[in-house]
Amino acid sequence: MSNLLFARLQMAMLLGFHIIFACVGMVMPFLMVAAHGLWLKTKEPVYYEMTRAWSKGVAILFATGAVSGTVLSFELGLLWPTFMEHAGPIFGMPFSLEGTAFFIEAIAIGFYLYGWNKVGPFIHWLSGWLVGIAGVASGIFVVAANGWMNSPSGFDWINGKAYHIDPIKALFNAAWFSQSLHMTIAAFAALGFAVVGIHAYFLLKEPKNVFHAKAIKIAIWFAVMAALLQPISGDYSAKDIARRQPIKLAAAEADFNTQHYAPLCIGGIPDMARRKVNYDIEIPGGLSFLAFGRLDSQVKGLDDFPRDNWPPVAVVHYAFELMVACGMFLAAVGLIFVVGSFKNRDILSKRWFLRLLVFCAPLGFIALESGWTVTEVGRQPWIIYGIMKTRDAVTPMPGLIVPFIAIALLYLFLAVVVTWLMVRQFKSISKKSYETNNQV
Amino acid sequence: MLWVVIGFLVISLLFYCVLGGADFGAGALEFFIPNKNRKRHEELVNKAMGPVWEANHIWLIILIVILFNAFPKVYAQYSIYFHVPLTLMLIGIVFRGCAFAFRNYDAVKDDTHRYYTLVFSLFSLLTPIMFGMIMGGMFYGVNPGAPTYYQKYVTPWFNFFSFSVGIFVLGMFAYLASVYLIGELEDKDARDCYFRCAQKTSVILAFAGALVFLLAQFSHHPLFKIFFTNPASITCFTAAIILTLFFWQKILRGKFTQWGIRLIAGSQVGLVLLAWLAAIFPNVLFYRDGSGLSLLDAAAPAATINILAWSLIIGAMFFLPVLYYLIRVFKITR
Repeated sequence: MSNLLFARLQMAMLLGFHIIFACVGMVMPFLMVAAHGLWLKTKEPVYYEMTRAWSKGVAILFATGAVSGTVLSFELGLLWPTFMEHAGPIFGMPFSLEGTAFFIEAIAIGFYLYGWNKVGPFIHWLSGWLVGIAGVASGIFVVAANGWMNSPSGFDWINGKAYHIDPIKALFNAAWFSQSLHMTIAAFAALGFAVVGIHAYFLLKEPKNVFHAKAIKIAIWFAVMAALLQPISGDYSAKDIARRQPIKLAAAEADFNTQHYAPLCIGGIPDMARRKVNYDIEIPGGLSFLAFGRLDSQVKGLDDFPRDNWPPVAVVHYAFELMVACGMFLAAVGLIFVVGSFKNRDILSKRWFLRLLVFCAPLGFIALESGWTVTEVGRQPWIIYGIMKTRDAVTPMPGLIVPFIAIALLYLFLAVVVTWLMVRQFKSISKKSYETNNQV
Repeated sequence: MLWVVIGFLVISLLFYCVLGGADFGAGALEFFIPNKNRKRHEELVNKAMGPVWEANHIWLIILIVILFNAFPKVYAQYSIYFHVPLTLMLIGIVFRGCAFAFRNYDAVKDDTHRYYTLVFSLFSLLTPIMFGMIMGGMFYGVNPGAPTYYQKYVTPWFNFFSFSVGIFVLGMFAYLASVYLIGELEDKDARDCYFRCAQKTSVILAFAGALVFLLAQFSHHPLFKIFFTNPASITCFTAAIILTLFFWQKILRGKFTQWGIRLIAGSQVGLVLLAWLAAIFPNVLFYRDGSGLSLLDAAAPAATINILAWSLIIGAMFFLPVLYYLIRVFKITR
């Protein structure tokens, strides 16, 4: 049992770590090319500085993402060899496409980072676009592979073996679209708000620094658009899960009983023994409405499923609540910004709004991590939903606590160093732009 | 279509060794470069590796993806029996990749630099040894029925034979790096430094190669017999030897082009790898009872293989031209 637990913990840690850097690879290139484009158009040095500063950060984070991604491609097998032996030929296609996209991304980023003054400015700018497009594509492919684990298709499972494999059907499984959409938007919201928040922090410290003000102006549009679109995609995902994986929705909502007019429960502490939720706020019929669009629809509760197949309800429920809370908060901030901008107030020069943005900096990533917790923990005890249990997939090698601790220490150390490097990066920006400003 | 996939598998292994391996070698050389040349070497490595190392690294990912797509049994068996060394190798890959990126992009240049360089060079040295030890372990053989943890998960890769393969692989990578770096330089003095590196690594390679065969014999593996009764292996091996003679003849007469010697060195390493692959083919993993896991038997169903072959062909049509353009911009028209 403990071997399985450490394998799961290690996998969670590897994914939780990698996903942050993967998002950087998906979104930062677009911020970079936006700044770069403005520089090409206006020739204002501040945009050049911004492009260079951002791309330096990207180089560090991308390299970390590339190696932590390599680790993952091995760890899938190291921790879950039985799963990979059966699943590899079925859901391998998105991975091979992802490999190709990532290859292009890696080539393009080498080109972009080192291509200043080596190739024509326009081609150079385009290579930045290529980094972003390939990054988003590889993100979508990987999430599609995860979608297959939630909604397996493209094979017949007979006596513990897969027959009639159809990799294309597996790629376009029922979950791929809703999951990829939700994740791509989440990446833009998380990274957008993180970038905006960090620059807002420095702007509060140095109110005259144009660099940070202009950086916020570029990044906030990405952040706000994504944050406003996300609730729509979230609603779509919830409706999708209600049909495909009702037990996951039941766990996320800590909904123990199958019922019509199912209430939407907000917050609360699930009491597993009595099968009810304490101290929550209930909106009558809310869950039925959100899941199926009608107040009186029947929503399946946990008691519809054998106890063995329940995911850890409390973890999924708390993670889900946290994700929704963060997401809603960011959407509200987005709304304030849009309304503020339309009323023609210079909302970005208000100190209270900048403070609010600083507060928002980590929220997108918190939502992202907790959202993945809902997806992954909510699928337990299955590794392939309804087909293979996680405990049957784990490696026979005993003593998994050792690699777990080793990798945990490694990643902790790496996280500290990367954070420290980013702080150094931002501090040096402040110094530099002061110098440029003074020269002007 | 299976052969297309096997072709891509072999090509990614070769490219990872010939391109990515050289990046490891360059870091490992940093460990042995005399202090007076250290700064120049560091700058040279940064400039040479910077634009291409990420791309070179991706060959490993392509390799792994092909493996679990098309040969899931092989991937699962490697994962189970080489869990420990693969984890160690991954730790090495993480450390040296990050240290290299941090060294290049840290906004402040101060004393931290020393630590980046130390981590980068140390793990560039250890990771190829680990890589080689795993390759050695595949041939040494795993023992699923072994009674103890140690015999099951450690012995296959942690023995003198596997270690000698590790040293041989490190030697190949360092040799490649030395030769490639000659091409990055114009200055004769600096070039001589890397000629000496290439010379030394060649000698190490010859000894390590002999040791590999010797230790295989001692641990009752007829590597010598397998290797030198296989026509393909003999051909590849002989070609590699001829290229070696050709290489030193060119170098000694001072008549060579940068790309000429790079191509020769790359082909030498490629041929040695091919000779080894041909010798064990179609087996890619051996068991202590003498049986082997054949790549052909472990192949996924035809539907998977066909789709994978087509995605690789179409994917290559996208990434190969871009890769060529990258190399052209940064390595040819400088």
